[in-house]
Amino acid sequence: MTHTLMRTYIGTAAIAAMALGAVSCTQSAIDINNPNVAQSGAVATDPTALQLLATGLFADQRGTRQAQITNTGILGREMYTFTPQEGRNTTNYLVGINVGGVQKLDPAGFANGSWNGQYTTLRDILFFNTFVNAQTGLSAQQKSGALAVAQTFEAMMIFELLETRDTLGVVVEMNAKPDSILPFVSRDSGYKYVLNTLDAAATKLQSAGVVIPFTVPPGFGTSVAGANFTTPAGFLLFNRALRAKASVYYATLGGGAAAWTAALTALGQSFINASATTRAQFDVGPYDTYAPSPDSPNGLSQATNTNLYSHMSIQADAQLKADGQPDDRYTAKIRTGLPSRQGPGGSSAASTLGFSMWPTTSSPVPIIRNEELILLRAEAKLGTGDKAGAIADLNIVRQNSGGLPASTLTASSTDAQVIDGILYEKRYSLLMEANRWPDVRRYGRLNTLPLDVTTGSNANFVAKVMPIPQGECLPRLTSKVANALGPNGQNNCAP
Amino acid sequence: MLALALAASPLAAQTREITGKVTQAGAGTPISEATIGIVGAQLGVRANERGEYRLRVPEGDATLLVRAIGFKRQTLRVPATQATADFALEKDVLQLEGVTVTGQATEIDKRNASTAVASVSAEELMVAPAKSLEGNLSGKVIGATIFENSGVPGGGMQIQIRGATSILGQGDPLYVVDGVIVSNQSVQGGLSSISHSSGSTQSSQDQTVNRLADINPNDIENIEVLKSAAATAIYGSRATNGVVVITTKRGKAGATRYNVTQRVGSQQATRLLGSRHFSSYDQGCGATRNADSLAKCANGSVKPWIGSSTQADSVARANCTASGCAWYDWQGALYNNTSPAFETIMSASGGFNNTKYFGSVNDRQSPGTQQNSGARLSSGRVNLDQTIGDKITLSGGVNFSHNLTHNGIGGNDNSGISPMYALGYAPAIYNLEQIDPITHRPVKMFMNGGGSGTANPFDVVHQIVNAEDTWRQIGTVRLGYLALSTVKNTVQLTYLGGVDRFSFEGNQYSPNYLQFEPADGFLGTSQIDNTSSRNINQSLNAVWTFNPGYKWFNSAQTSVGGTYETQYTRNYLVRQRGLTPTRVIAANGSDIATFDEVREFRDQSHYINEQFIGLDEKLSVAIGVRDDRGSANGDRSKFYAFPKYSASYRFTEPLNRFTSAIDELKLRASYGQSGNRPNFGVREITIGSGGVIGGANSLSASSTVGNPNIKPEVMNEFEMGADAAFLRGRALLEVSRYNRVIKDLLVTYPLAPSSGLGTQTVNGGQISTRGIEAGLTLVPITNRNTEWTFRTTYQHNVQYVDKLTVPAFNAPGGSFGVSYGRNRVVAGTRPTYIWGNQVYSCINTTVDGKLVVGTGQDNKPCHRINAGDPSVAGSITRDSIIADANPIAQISFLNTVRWKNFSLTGLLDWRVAGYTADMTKNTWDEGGNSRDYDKAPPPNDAGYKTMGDFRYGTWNDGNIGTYIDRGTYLKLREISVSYLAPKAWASWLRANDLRISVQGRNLGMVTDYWSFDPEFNNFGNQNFNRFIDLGPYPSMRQFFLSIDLGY
Repeated sequence: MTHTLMRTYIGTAAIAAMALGAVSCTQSAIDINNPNVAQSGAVATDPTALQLLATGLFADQRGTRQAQITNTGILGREMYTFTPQEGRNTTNYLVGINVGGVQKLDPAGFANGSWNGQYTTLRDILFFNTFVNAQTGLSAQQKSGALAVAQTFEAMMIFELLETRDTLGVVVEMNAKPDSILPFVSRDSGYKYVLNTLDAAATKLQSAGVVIPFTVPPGFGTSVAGANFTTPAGFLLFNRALRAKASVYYATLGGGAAAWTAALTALGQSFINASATTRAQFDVGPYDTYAPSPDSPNGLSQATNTNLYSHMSIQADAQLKADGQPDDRYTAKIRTGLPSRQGPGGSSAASTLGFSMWPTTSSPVPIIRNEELILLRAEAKLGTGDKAGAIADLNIVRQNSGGLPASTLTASSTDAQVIDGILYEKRYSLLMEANRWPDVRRYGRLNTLPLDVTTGSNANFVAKVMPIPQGECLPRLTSKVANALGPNGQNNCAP
Repeated sequence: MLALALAASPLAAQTREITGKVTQAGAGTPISEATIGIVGAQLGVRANERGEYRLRVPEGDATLLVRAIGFKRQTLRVPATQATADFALEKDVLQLEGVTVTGQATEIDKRNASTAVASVSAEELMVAPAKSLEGNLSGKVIGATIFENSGVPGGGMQIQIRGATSILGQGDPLYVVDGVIVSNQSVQGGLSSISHSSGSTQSSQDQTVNRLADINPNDIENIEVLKSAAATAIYGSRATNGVVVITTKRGKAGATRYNVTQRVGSQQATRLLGSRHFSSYDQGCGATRNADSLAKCANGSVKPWIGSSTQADSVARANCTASGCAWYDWQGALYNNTSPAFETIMSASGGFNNTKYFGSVNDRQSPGTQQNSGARLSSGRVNLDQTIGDKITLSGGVNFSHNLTHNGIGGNDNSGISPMYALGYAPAIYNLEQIDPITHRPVKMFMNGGGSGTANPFDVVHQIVNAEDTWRQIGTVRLGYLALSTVKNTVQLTYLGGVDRFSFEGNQYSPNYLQFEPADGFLGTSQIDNTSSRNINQSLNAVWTFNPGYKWFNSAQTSVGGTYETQYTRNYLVRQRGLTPTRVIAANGSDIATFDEVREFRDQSHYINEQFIGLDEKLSVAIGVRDDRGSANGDRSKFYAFPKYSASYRFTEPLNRFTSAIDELKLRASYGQSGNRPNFGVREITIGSGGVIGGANSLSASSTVGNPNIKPEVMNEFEMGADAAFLRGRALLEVSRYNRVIKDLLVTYPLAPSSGLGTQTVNGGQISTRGIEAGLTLVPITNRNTEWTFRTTYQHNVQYVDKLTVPAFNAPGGSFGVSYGRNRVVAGTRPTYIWGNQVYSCINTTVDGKLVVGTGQDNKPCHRINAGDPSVAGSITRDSIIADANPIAQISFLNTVRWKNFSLTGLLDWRVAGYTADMTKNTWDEGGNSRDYDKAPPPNDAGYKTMGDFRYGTWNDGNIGTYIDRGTYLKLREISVSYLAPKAWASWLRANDLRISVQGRNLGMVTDYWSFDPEFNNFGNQNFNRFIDLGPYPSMRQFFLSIDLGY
């Protein structure tokens, strides 16, 4: 018995060893790669990584463009998205939810976007900066050039966030640790951060030599942009244009006289061309380009986006030229005669108008154009007391871009009247360029935006800010970080 | 084990021979395949096809034990002088006999099993045909909840065992066919490219058919469902959801027996929604309760229909007169396909010398109720068993199947093509079946103008192709070697290899002339989706069985072994839009998108199990442990151990006079662990693709952050139960209570978006399930002519989120968000709760700034959130718990009555509560077309004009409760009447047996549910959020007439 048992034990043990050996011996058998994605560790040593990561930044900021345009476009009564069978694209923006008798946008609804994309870009910039700083093969000049591009985009992203969140403030820091909760800063601090960051980037561009150490996408090159923004000097013109825009915004939001002066200085260093007379000259500026897959198609294009409608007030409010025809800008940008559509359950007025700026899915979208710079200068001149200069600037655009007779404004017009004049020109010159809603808000004129439905359960309202998305708030509710929830506490997060 | 029992015995010198015959008690028919052996010894012989056996036993008295599947065991003492012994076995109606698997290469007598056993035999399984195997199991496995996702023919069902055991991980049980681990992947066909139900080319909303549908249920001999962790621990890190062990039919010794079954059937929609009858043009304006808009509608300044258009208005005016509007039964006409279903099954089985074989071919054509939809499964199987010498056995099986489905159109949709969705927005006042004289196709849909948003469903179901074509091969080989064989010891070595592979081709085509096609700017869409899947598993086992022959120590079985498993899937897809007429291939489109993804897992394990039976076979104790490591874990070199412990004790004599009615009572308890591995790719730190810009590729930070420390979730389950047979074999009661706790739960940690990152998966939480299961089987009548078996099962469980180390989050898987209800993972609540918007009249703000919602009637101080003026009346909408999607109980009643040559089987399936998000009703109310739209609103809500207005208005005001509906139902799942014809009839067809059956499935449902079926889920198979009914393909009932011939 003992002998049998022993033999059996030994036999069984041998078999067990064999089983493990034959079936599951080598660990290397289970060391398999995930072929679907690039492994982060391998990127640091790849010779193409700098170009790929840099292009990634341009692709990232392009990714924020269309949502910025449509979100501010609906709230600023430039457009609608009449998706069939998804009414929330209208109701969530125009009707919102009722919180204690006050209409608000739902932080968990559809009108809470233009947030994640900007921060994704900022995360990429952090990754890019770490990568560039670690590269031993890059010269100091090359590093300056590369970092300056990233820093300019960093400021641009935070500026975009301030455009939609305004008084709610923003988070400006980015931490390598993924689960860090970083505080909100006020709008004022946010603008200061944007201005300082743009200036720091400008300093780097000035010491970046003559070449940026990677190929800049074609939207910044002469063939699309009308000027060359692909060199350190060229990119600096773009950086200064953003600086001017941010300064003008900041000037109207507490920055005051110093900001107006800074805006004029920055404009002088930008690509502004006040002697523009042709459409091409007004259109000079960096663009985001689009193309069919595998590139990104322009999702706003009339070729594919049949849900994008224009607000009817754009037709009604267009001023007439001397020949009785409407503003050239209206004619150039608006299509008429679309099938009549409206929001579900009568939540908006009906519209038969669309846009014609993007005829194909490859139509580029401007980031900032000369036409905008001239109108920003009009604002800045008015802000610094040069009313005549302001009127002159708005007339450059009004007459050459709009084909309209010169403005009736004079030096004796009130500031408010001149602002009205500038806002009219901005509305038509910069239609669907994410300006209208922030502009009327900055000048306290949100109440001038038209409401399609004024009574009943579908009564429209004009949102002051887009809410902080609920997803941003939930991880913050338990955070001990000061100002984790922003200036209004939980109001930012839960209606 | 079979090989073990059959091995010739090297017996001691002094032996004698006993011969005899084994027959069925009463009937007298021989029982082939009965095994005859000596009590206490392992070795025995098998009876031949005439029931005859010949057994060598030692000199002296011998006690023989005879067993056969489906019969009660019998022992008989044969005196030394007696050389023959005949046995008449009684039928095992209560299914007390049989074996149940305990490991990769081991099994145990059911009566000694120390965990709850759930097995389904071929006969129970095949009462009535179903669209896939899950349907055949509905109502038959205690503890398993079986859902049908929609009425799509050909498959699309889910089995959930004892609740969901994972939030993120795999939710399906592990399916094992003859030792081959088979894929039950849900390959997403790609209808989303046309329906735009999601933003991508594929989604779980594609009316997905999970691949269990490729298994031919007619080939199955037996299914065992392993539920508790102690039973599934042998499958280690893939086992928390339970294991479904499927055994296919194998050859039996004797002349070849042929079976031919021919079925013909039909189907119809079980229920349709109906639609609103409009009595006037003005009534069509009543989509809103706004009196002002009613007046405007009447004077023509506002159009009456949602998405109003001139065309819709003119149709409405033309089809309504003062006496009312026309009405058309569109649904009845769309879902009227009763064209015949066919199924042909042929099988052959037999054995000679050392070879046994089973072969079958099957062809099943099942049309769907929607026009132009249906499924066809063709399959063939060959199983071979070969003994080589007296020590080696070789078994193999191979299965080929071809599964072709035309899934039709249904479910969520954003392009206006899903009939049950789109018709909700179209008043049934117009004949959509009429043919346009110019296009010769159904007229254009009059809603939304035309050119966008919708298309005539009669056109859509005939023009859009939504097909899936799967070729599948499953093969297994098992090599056994009897290394040692003495009276007291045997050692059996087994190698098992299994391969399961399939190639799936999805094909969607929407021609460029359909009405909705311009909506995305590209005319026409064509998509080809190729998925290839390959699963390979191998195991090597050594089993040492020791029978010392003592009364207190009956046997011990030690098994050791190891496994190596790989799973590989590649999904490649090309979609092209902007087609030229009739051309569908990829090279042609003006917009081409491709998608390509690989998923691969590799796992290794080794294990040791010990099974002890003692105290005269009354005590059974099992312990074991399996160590697993795999490619999905953060640490690939680390083995994770999954132990198990279980024990049972049988009381076979009455304890006292009160228990004398009990024949036998078994008490059992078990504890075990099993795991669920992390999802593919969770471990890797990656960098994402940034997209292409100006022809240049790019990289950008990945939104998901890899976790190199990720490890499997671990389920700890404690189960205890009792099985009692009483009333002298007339009744069996099985009761189990279990508590499962899943630790190291895989959860996705949603990072604050301001980090620029999306999610990270961590082991951070614990969920648990507590439940009770019971089954009662009664045999009220059993005599020579009649046998009536009644079985009822009951199951109930409740799930909890015990703790979370991450913030609460929405349960992953598809859902439609707060406005329509979804599951949330919130510590201290049930993950099956449906959360959604609810309106409260006030908010209490506590000092620490936390908010408490109140009704304003609870005497607590009530403040407005915007402070300032507490007197302002108003209300606030909050994300709240509305109901529980998990049913309170699932109960089934199975009756089988045999009378002479007739038999009748019926299965009722009763679900108690369990709420659903009835978004179908929501869309029909939104469109103003629900059948009861004009009913009076509830008395307390008289402020609303009508029922439809009340439901939609309440919902629109932020209360989703009007669309969260109770899903109680009572379904007649299966019914079958069959007649075993006299031999004379059979011989007229040159057959030995002839059976004629009439069968039905899902014939009826009693429920007050508004829409189609509370089982349905728009998002297919998923762990949570599986309660969403949105414009589905309607459920169907099926009828069959079957002729079975045996040769």
